[in-house]
Amino acid sequence: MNFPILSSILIVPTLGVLLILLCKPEQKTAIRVISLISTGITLLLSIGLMILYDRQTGGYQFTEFKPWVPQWGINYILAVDGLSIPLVFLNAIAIFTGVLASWHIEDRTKEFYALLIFLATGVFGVFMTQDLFFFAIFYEVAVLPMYLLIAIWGSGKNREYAAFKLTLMLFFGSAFVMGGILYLYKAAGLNTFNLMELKRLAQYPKEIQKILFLLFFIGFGSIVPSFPMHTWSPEGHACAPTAVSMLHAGVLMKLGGYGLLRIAIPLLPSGLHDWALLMMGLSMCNIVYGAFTAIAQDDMKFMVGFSSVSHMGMVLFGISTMTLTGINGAAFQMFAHGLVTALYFSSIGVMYNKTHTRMISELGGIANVMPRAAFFFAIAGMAGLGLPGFAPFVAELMVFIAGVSKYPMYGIIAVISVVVTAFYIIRCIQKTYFGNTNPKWKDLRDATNFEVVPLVILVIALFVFGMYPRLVLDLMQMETKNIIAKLALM
Amino acid sequence: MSENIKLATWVVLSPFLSLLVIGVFTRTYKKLSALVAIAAISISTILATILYFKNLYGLTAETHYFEWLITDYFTLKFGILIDSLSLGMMMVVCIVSLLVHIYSWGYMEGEAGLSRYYAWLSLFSWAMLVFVVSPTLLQAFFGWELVGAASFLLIGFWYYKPEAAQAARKAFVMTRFGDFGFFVGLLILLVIVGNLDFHVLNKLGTSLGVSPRLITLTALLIFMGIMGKSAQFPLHTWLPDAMEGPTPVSALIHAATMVAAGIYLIARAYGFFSASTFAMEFIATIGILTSFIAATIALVQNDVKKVMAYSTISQLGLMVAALGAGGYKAGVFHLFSHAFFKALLFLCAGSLIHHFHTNDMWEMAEKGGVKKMKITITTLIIGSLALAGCPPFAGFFSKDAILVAFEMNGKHMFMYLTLLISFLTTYYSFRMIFVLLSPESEHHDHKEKHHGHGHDSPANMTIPLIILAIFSVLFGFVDTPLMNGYFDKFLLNKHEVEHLHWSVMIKSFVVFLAGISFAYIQFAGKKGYREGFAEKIGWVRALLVNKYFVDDFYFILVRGLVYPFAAILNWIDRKIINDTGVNGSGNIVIYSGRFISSLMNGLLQRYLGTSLVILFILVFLWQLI
Repeated sequence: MNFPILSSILIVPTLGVLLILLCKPEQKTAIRVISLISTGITLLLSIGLMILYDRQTGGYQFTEFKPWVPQWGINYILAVDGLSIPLVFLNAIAIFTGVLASWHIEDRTKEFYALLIFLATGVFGVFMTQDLFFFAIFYEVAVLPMYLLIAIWGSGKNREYAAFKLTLMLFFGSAFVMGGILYLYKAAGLNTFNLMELKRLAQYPKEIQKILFLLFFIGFGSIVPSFPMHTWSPEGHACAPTAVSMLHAGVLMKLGGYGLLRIAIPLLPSGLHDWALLMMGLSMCNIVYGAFTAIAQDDMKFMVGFSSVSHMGMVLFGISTMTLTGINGAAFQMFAHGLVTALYFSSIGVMYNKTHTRMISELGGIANVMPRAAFFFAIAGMAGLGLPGFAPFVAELMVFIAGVSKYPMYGIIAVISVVVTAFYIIRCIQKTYFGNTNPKWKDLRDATNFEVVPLVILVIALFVFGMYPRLVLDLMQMETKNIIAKLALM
Repeated sequence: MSENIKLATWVVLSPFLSLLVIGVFTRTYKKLSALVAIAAISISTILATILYFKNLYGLTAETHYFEWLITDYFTLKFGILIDSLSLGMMMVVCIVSLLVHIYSWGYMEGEAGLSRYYAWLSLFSWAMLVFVVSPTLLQAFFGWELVGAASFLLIGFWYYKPEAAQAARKAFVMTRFGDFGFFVGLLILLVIVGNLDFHVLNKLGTSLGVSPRLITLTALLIFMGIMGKSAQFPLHTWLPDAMEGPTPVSALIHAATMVAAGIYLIARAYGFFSASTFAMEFIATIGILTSFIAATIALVQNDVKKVMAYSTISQLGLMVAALGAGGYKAGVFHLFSHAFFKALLFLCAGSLIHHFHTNDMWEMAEKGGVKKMKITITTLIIGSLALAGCPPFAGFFSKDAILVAFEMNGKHMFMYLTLLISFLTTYYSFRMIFVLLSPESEHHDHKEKHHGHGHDSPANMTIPLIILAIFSVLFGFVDTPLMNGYFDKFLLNKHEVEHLHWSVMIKSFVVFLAGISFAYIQFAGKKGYREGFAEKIGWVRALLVNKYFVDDFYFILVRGLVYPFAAILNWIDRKIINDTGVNGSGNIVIYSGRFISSLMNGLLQRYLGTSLVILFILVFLWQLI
């Protein structure tokens, strides 16, 4: 048997968590180094996945199969394909840079890192498992630590409310997902949770597909987040510590889109046909409404939160077109948006550590005292508003192409968001970073070389995948083609 | 890959490598960064020159593609397209960019962010060259957006100045608004035609199955982007504000190259645009309207850079009008010659500003000493003569080509308007010159000692001026029988030599003389502030000083519509969706929980009462069934 690379991606961070738990709370440096090493190894492993994946053969690779509860058809299955590898890689980058970005945390360092890495492990599990039972478990693991991370290490007086709301809404969603999974299991009548088997063999009648897809759409939609289930997102980001925002907006939101593409659409293609118009309508709300609402925000993290609402709407919009270009665009948007929001939040975090405010109206002229923080936020902004050369442009281009070809009028309305996004991003850059420096901020020190490392990693990734998107797009396309084939059969 | 393509590839890549080198290695060494950027653009210029001399009489299109993105029903390609048009533009971009790089060495001396400055200049040069050599509309859009970003960064180079920050934002958002149209047009074309190669788009008019209305629609949408980037009315107001950036940047980006990108795009996709008569009419009308409006506003400007900015808008309008009226060669010719003399004018203005530390021409005149800056003032006069269209300077021949194009295509109205605009152009250019040359006030001696007046700018600033001045004098001759109609041969591969159009030339010369004498009468040899003829009529003055109220309109639009709309949506989000919907459903759970727990408070009476109520309900339901 070959080296179990996928299990290692799960085991290495878990070992990291265990080692952290063995440390004394005072051994903060040791805890940080352990975190960095374990996530670093994971990052290398995920890069290895990208390189070693055989692009000629395609399909599931690196499969690991262990029976778990055979009588109920529960198996420990790990396998990755073109759709999950980029997301595994994204998660690895997000947690690695997240660990670097939270180096300054002094309060309960041990618990913080343990929870953070535990959360990321759950996300890895979701992206790699091909068993619905394990999917459900990992999904919960990914959501649960969020409550503590926000409520304990968060900022602002609203943080308990925000954490509570976020967790409840995500659990609200996951209840639908659980129900859906059990229904899938039962209705297939194959006595297996094995997703690969189900995809091959299960046949669901159209009426059942219709109900089931709605369950999954509500469930996954609440984490995407789809309008009107999005209000946890801006508030959650605003109260969360930097690394948590990075992981959260960077990766956790992608669980929704991934769930749709991995489970709901391949198994229930006719369900998507039934609900595509609803999905499109809600995604339009996300895209346009989210963008306009972002203009009115004063808190930078709220603004980025609403921009996430707007940009994750693109994922749903792309899926709702039911074309290869659209779904490719959706998958790529998940990847690109993950990188860009991680960069947003880490660059805001670098500034917030010094200023302790994120209110645009209180800031101003920060570029004079913290040129580096300003530079990286500007890059994030430029990438976020869809400047060619950065990854989000590619995603938006594909989503818009699909949108205009499938729903011409709505596609064009969605393009309006490009202008609105430019409006609020540039406004924020001008008001926060440019102009005269408020005397209050005269003595701020700029980000150190060390603090800049995660930002540089993210910028490089954004640029590389923006200039040569085929690095991940060709991977994703192998799987999205199968999804389209399923949709076309209907 | 052919030899030509290889050369062109390196022309494009060289500034990009410079950007990387500055970003990664030399950003803390200011002078080294500047040298890297200058070296890179020199390499580009040298290679472009080699390419040019290899193809001295033009060449037919050579392309090389690589596949950037492959998906189901189309493949998006990037690549390099070299033909006479892109080669000519490449030469112009490289030469002006190189001169601006060198000039900046002197102009920006001692600037703290010099590495950043040169990095952004390299970024701009790279993006502009990507745009120029692009064989597809998508790559053109790619470069188009990147030059916009570079322009944003460079306008906001002195980001601590609130005006600069504001101007940068305005430039970006306004051009982005235009790009919305460009992007939608591009998407529609991609979806319907499935191919964005220029050679396909240019034949769209003759291909079957593509409705003329589609071409008109997409052409107008793409033109919206051009209106933003090339500052056509009513999306022009960002360009005068963009003068807040460093002056060499204004010369490169906001005079010679980036703002001309729209004109280049029309020329590049000329077959596509000319397939729609309506679109062409529209383009021509917008062009001439812009030109007239900008020329009139320039009459009342006191800031030398603003005068030039409005003059740029006006000249861009002329180019757009020429292309719209069917004068392909005229538009391109004026684009090239304008690039030289307008870059020259801006660099002269930079030299003056560097010297006087003010942008106001009256203050410069007050401080005195302009006459002692021999090279600057001489080249400034040469540039103004070229702009005004004095024979035999470059602008004379290129404007002449535009007039001829209007006449040939039966647009007599346009021709007379152009003559009027030429009159205004001459008038405002020489208003500036005469004001600057006006006799010095008495107390200048005192200041002279103080500021060390009387020197010209350093050589690295004056040499670019001289080179550009030579271009401004001589470039026009390429389209004359003196050089056997070289420009026609190069651009159009046309071999018969066109005659000079004496009637048009005489008209244009008369207009020039009228303009310059009018300015002479009003401004020459007088001290202190004087009003020009446009300022003497109250309402005209109000209209012009307020720039036709276009900015106020945008202000009301943003303050009165966009912000309130966003605020309303935010209120809906907070109050209705979050507080009522989300918290409301949470509260329902909490209150129903409290209610139910209050039923189980340990008192027997409550339990009994509850049981009775439930029993009644059950009986009632049973009866119903």
